[in-house]
Amino acid sequence: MPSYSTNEFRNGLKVMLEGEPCVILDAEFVKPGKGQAFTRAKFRNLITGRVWDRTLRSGVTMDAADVVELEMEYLYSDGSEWHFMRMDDTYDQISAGADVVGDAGQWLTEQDKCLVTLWEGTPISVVPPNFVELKIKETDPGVRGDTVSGGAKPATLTTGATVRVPLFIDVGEVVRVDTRTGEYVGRVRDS
Amino acid sequence: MTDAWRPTATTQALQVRSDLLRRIRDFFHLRDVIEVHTPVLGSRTVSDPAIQSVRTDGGFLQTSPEYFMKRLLAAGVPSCYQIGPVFREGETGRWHNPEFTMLEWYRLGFEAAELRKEVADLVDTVLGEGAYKCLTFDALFQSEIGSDIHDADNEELLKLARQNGFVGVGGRSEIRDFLYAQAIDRVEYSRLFVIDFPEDAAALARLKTVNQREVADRFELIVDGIEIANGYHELLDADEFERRFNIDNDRRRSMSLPSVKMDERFLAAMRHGLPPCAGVAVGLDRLFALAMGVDSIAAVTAFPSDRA
Repeated sequence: MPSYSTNEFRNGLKVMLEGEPCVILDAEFVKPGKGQAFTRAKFRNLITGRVWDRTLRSGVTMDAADVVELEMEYLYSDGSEWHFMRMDDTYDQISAGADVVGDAGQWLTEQDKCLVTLWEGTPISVVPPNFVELKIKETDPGVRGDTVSGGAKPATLTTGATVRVPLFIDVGEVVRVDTRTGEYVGRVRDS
Repeated sequence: MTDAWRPTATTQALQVRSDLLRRIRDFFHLRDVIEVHTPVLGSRTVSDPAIQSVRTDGGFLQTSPEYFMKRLLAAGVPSCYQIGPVFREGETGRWHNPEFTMLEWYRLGFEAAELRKEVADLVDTVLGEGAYKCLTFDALFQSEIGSDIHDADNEELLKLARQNGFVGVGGRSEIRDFLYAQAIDRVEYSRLFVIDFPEDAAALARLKTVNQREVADRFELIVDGIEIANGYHELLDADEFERRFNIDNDRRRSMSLPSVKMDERFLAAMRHGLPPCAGVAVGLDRLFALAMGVDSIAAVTAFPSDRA
């Protein structure tokens, strides 16, 4: 693996910090009065998502993290593992545990395209599509014609996720959800 | 990169810059401080191990006009100022550019406190009036880091540094530099003078005794966490200058940095006699950026190094 000197730091660079793969969010050269030069940086841990503020002596190097992001197709879950397939010519499959898939799992249906981050070949995070369209499995009966009151009620989707939907939505309808916020975006008309 | 020929500062920023430069020249004109010009390219350079000079076939690009201006003072030139480019190799960032604009001035007969007052007046002229807090290096360390810099041993200091996000290992002065950078980054005062620096960070400031401890009679002005000015009650003792020069060169060798030749003409001027004075250097690009409320010196510089 190559390594990077602090003066090569830029946003998005992936390096190993304290044994874990991180991405640099921000790096700044600092030089206190008449003193040693430092690089102050923000690192996001790619496994936990936590942001670390760290300062290094200018000129020291950090090992690059062997991290790749791949667009992969979600195949199925067998209850404990989630299976994905590469979309390039290899069609290689990998599996990830619930600890890696995390909240992404509640939005996924077969053939969704996800962004899977691999560290040394092992998946460490899964990002679902920004928008998914899912069918309502359970909710209180729809209030016909009430499209203006602005009221909302909880609804359970076929994947198990719960979102708040407008009162007029009924079981069996398909809704569009923003997975980044977990919010209902609109109703999908039958095509 | 098709726009790389363009300046990074807006035309408006360059106009404000021009206005501020005129105001600064008026400020000194009204105080009978004369403007001087000394070489940007010199045969010798500074020994400070934390400052690397740009070397050319014809000599060194100066990192500050200090030695030349002191030669003028020793020759009888009165209180004087200079505005011009200075160069520091390898310093690039939001608040750094390898070439930047320095305002440096010397006041005959001033002590550090009088010069601080004048620095505050100048900064008020550029940024508008504000309140200034003054803290000793030790007090700043105590309040922001929560430790006594003198009592803490190396192990404690390193532990403290790690708790504050330091990665790796470092010697005592390096750890101290790091903790100082953290302290000024988080301090609550918008305009802060830090005074009484550790004696090994004196550069060309005199030493004075405070609470039975030798400290450097040196100050820095920090505005909104950014270092703006660095001033000294100037060292007059030529032997002491030689001693510090040799220590710097020893440190340079131990850090595998090129050693620096003695500036014999400057030493001769010191031996001839520098009149009692205080001097200060101000990073003008930073001050202008603060005046315009922008968060980089590129926004007030026509062509920073990546477009130069």
